[in-house]
Amino acid sequence: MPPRLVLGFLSVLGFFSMFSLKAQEMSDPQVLKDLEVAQRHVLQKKSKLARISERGLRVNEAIALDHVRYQEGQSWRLAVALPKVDMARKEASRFEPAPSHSIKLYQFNVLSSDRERAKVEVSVPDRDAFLVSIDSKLKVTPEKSAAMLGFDLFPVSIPAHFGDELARIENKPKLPGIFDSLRDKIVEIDEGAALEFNVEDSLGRPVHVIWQENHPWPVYMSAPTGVAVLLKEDR
Amino acid sequence: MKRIYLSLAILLTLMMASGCGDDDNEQTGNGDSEAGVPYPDVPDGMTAGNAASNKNFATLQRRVSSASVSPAPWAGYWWPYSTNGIAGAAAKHDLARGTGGSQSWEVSNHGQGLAGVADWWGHCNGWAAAALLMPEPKGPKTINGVEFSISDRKALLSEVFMEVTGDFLGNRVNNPGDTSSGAFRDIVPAQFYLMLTNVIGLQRRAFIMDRFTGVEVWNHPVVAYANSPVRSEDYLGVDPEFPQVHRVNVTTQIWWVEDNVDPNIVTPAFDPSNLGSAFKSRTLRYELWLDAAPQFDGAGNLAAAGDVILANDAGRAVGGSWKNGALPLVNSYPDYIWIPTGAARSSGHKNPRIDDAWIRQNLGG
Repeated sequence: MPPRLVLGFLSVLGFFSMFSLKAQEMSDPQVLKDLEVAQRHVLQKKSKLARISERGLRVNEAIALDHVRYQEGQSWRLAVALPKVDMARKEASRFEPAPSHSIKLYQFNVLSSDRERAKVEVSVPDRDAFLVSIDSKLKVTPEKSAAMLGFDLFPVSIPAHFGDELARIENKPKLPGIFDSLRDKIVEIDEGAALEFNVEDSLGRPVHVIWQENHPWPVYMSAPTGVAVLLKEDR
Repeated sequence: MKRIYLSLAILLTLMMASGCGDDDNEQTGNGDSEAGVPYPDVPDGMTAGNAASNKNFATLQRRVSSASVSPAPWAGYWWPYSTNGIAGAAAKHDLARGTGGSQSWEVSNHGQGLAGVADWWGHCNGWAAAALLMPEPKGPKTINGVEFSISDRKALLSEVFMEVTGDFLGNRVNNPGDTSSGAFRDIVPAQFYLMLTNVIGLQRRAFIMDRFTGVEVWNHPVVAYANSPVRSEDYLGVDPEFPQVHRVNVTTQIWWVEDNVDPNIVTPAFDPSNLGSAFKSRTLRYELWLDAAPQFDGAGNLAAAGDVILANDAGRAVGGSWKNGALPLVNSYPDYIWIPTGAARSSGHKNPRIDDAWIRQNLGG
């Protein structure tokens, strides 16, 4: 068969295959249902943005929180309840119970600081100490590691703009029982000095954050990943 | 007409089956990267750390259309249960420490003594977490007169991380015949794309995927990805019934580190043009859904776009559709994704007779 005819045949074949694929995808009831869910999601998002716009963006009411400036020698501790990842094991089955959590304690020590960023040493349980830099927007970047350290599964960056989701605390969150042994060491939430808001993690999952004035880290964070609480300074 | 159409469809199917199988999409040698572009440094201010997500499609395509993890996780082995897991290394552990029991525990629980062992069961989850969290052992080491090879050291580290804490995304497929449930359909393309671009691209962190969509489990750390440029011809428009959802075709090449190499090797540097046996690659095709229309410049290049839609339908992730017609359905897109953060105490699934701290201190890389 002459090459030109072969090419022509393949072009026709390609055209029909594309049509066939598209027709098949669009007739997949699950894809249609998903498109409907996606459509609803977009409309809800636009409605929310319109509400914020009507009320005017409360541009960083949390400017009070912008006091977060780290100083050399400063230190703090964080207790994080992280779930076990059991479903990644080969022999795990659907009968695997709900994941259990274990608490990890992180110690932060500021080694140096300037207006742009602080160099912080973080002691990670069961692993080495890691150097991270924390910039003025509270973005954490580890040095010489591509692994998550655990505490950094929780987003702590303060959004530049808040809508109506920013609020003074009305009800203190109830801590999971796993924190019982640490209860007297956990920073108490002061409703008058704390702000709570919701952000999304890297995958759009909701994270509940409570910041409290004069503290270097959120005093409480709750995410699908787990729960993190700030501990009182050792005296 | 119907007969012609059917014939063309059959011919197309045969062509796909014979010419575009697994090997065609998983490159182990000197593979030319279909979407291969250089790995740019992320501009200052774009290393997001633990920032909230960035979902804007044009921004992500422009700034982190490709990225790699550094240092790359190391290659290793999956120590199958059918050959008694890490029993050999456990015996050396017992000998060097003057204790006993970890070897026999391994045979009974991660070996031929375990009832109903499937031929694909093994230590890939422990290896994947260890490869991501611990530096690579690069030589033999003698402790208390017992020589531990690189393989022994990697085996024991893999056991330490058989139970871990961390984050888990997606629903695992548990039924061998399942090719249509919600668990099978996730990870959805939006989750996959946002994990690649946000975690590897912006944060320069690594994650682990189960590359096998179906019931088997094959965990691998992802080391790099490259998205093909999206051009005007990739924009599919909107469906009249769903005018807020803008559909765009995306092609992504991913690279992962392997768990079926000689465990005594030291992993070579990751080079997408020379993968060797330590790295593999796969090209994935999918449709992303955006909340605003993409805009293209005069040359057809992406200039602006809406956010990637990742919706939640009563706990079920929704966002795009997979289009990997050339790949076997059960071994195409990731079944689930996870990020380990540290070892957990044994609750009976990892060898409770090994000493985690001793192994990390004496045998870690």
